[in-house]
Amino acid sequence: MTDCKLLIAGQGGQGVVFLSRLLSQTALMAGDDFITYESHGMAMRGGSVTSQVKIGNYRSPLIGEKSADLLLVLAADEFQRNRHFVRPGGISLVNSPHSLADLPSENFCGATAVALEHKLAKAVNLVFCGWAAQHPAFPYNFAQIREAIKLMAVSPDIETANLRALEIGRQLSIR
Amino acid sequence: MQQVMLGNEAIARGLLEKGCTFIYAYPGTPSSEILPAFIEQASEHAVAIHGHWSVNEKIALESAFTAAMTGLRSAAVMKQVGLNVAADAFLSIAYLGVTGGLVVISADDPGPNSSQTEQDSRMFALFAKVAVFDPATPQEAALFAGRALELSAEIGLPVLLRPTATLCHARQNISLKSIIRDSRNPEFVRQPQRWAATPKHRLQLHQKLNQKMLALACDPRFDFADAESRPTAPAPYGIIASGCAWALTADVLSSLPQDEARQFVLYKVDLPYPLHKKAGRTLLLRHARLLVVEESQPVIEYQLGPQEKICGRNDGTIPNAGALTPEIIRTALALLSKRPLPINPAADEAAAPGKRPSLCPGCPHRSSFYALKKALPHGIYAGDIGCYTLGINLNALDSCLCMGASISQAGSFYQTLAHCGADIPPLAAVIGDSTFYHSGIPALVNARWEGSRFVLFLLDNSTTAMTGNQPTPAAGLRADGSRGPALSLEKIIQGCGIEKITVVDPYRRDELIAALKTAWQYCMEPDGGIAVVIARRGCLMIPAERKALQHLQITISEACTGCGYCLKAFECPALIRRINDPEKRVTIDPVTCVGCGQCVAVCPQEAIQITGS
Ligand code: SF4
Ligand code: SF4
Repeated sequence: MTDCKLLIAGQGGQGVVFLSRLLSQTALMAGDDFITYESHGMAMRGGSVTSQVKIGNYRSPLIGEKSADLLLVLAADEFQRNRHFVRPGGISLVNSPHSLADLPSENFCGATAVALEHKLAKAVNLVFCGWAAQHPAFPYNFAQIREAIKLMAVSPDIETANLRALEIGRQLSIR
Repeated sequence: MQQVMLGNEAIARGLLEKGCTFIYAYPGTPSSEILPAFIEQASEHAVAIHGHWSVNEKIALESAFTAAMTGLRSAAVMKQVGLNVAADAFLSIAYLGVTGGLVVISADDPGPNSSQTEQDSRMFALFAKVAVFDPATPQEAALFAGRALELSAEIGLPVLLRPTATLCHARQNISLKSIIRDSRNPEFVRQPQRWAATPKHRLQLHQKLNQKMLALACDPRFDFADAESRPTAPAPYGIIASGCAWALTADVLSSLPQDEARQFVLYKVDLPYPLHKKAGRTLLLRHARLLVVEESQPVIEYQLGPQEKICGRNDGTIPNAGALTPEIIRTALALLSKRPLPINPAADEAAAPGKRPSLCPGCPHRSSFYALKKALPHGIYAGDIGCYTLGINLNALDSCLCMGASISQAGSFYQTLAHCGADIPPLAAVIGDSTFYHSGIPALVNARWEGSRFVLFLLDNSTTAMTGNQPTPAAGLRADGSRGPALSLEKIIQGCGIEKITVVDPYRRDELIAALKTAWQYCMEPDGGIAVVIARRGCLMIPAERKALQHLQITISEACTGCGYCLKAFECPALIRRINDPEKRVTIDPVTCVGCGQCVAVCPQEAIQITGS
């Protein structure tokens, strides 16, 4: 039984909600219980968006301060605002070309530039996810994420593009 | 079978499982996904239903009620402030009751995140004497939506289901139940003394309602004095909670060290009104102190009555504004058990504001606001509810009260100033098409009748954009995708006695500025009145509109001085400062720019240029 509290932070239009749906689908396929919460409404118009994902025996999707096991950040600006949710010993993984604050550089990955290079501007989130899924703190492995993407894809084209983005992300960690 | 579902989808599923066939709604965050999910699931399972986006919440409730007068099972769906709009019908329906089943769903927004108030719909239920369920998780929401429908059919009264945003937009693995197909035919039995009751009969209906509520308050199904897990040793402190507040408290309790957690027992209230009478008394005897955790107003606390032993929102153990957080619960538990307060380590960091929302790149509203400020400078701009409330970022809105108020307010600004002989600055009411249909029309009739003078600036993007692009009466499309008549905004306005109407594409800025200027001139002519300018261009969130837009290549030349005027006055999210540029010049973000070209005329240096298409 997986037990993981993770927070995904980004800005409207970056696919925060998609990532949290992807993790939900992966959890479902793994037979784990989960509950997630996405901020909607005004946040849809480009503002800050966070999604809280709790995998395991939980009733409420809300994550308190200093209690997230993993923080995934799609927009570097959102890192400072959300890092206080990470528990002591928890992990932050950030989409940023350079390291921020006092964290080691292996916690950062410039997924946006790589995605643009491959003309995958709309799939920055999946490039980032492919990279992050290599980290031991990530609740599921690469193969499990792949299967969930296949199941969620609404068309073969989207499936191919999404799997490609994920794979490009995975390559990033083999430096 | 298990499925991933959004809380709102789970609510739809629960209604469908228990034979709901008629559903009416007006979109509003966080409730908007319920109606589309209901229609989709019904069509997946080939259940014959009727679902409709009503023009406002009052009409939605009146329609759903009427279906339930004929013996069918129905639902009316809205957000909490929508229940204010529907209140007239809601309070009356509580007396009249139904012969089928009627669930009213009013989704609350503690915080608030997307609303004018953080009012508690359960308080409305208490006020109206309508029983209310408060579900805690998406799984439970599916269950309670069905229970609410069955209870309504059983007692012959409407029942309220009150989810909050954290449930509506939570996603969870849900176990599904089978769907009951309701093949009942509508049957309306004439009972004028009930359905058209005079005040004398109303008194009797009220007395009957009181009896039914008393029966529910004694109904063993809603006894909450049995905790899910009773500790073996007696615990000094009891916690009574309902809905998402219960879920949050349960999670916080299970994160505490054993010896600390042992001191508390958590009780879950499914039906916060009418509150089970005996359960409350039992718990008061059983525990030294009781904490009540609920969102967002003290409804349960109020019904328990003033008691030394009880703490919660009334005595400040829990703050009486804002959404609940794990930290608030932890602090409340410490106060309850008189332990040292937990240290709140990062309050400063937590308070750092996030990126504020703004209108989308290429949004026609941005161009409309820019033109409004140019055409009618130093005016009073009365605003309204919708995406365009974000005009506040552009300094182009002076008020935002409630749905449709822009028109009443612009009219009243005129009356107030004119009657006192004060100078009258340019007056404009800024309202979107969907809000105009919702409650702008009566306000316009009123303003015309009263002889008010202002520019009605109607931002017509042919959709209800804020809540996810639901169709409006002008779209010629209904909630289930079927074709309907496309109503004409112009004809409705003409019908309100307005003669001066101009329709302009907001992307044609000069024309729009000229139209707004002419409109205000007309208002101030000796026999002028209200002039309407309709800025008509589809919302870019509609895929067809995005496709139809010609993508221009926009570049910012070296002439940019970094003055930041474009960022402030136009605030397109695709205009960004260059990274590591000492002069802080601006560039275009290629990922988000839609190439509308609307920013070109904004730059005083003419640095923003079209360089291709
Ligand atoms: S583009 Fe024009 S308005 Fe914007 S910062 Fe540069 S000079 Fe100023
Ligand atoms: S062209 Fe200008 S206004 Fe239009 S989306 Fe791009 S940056 Fe924004």
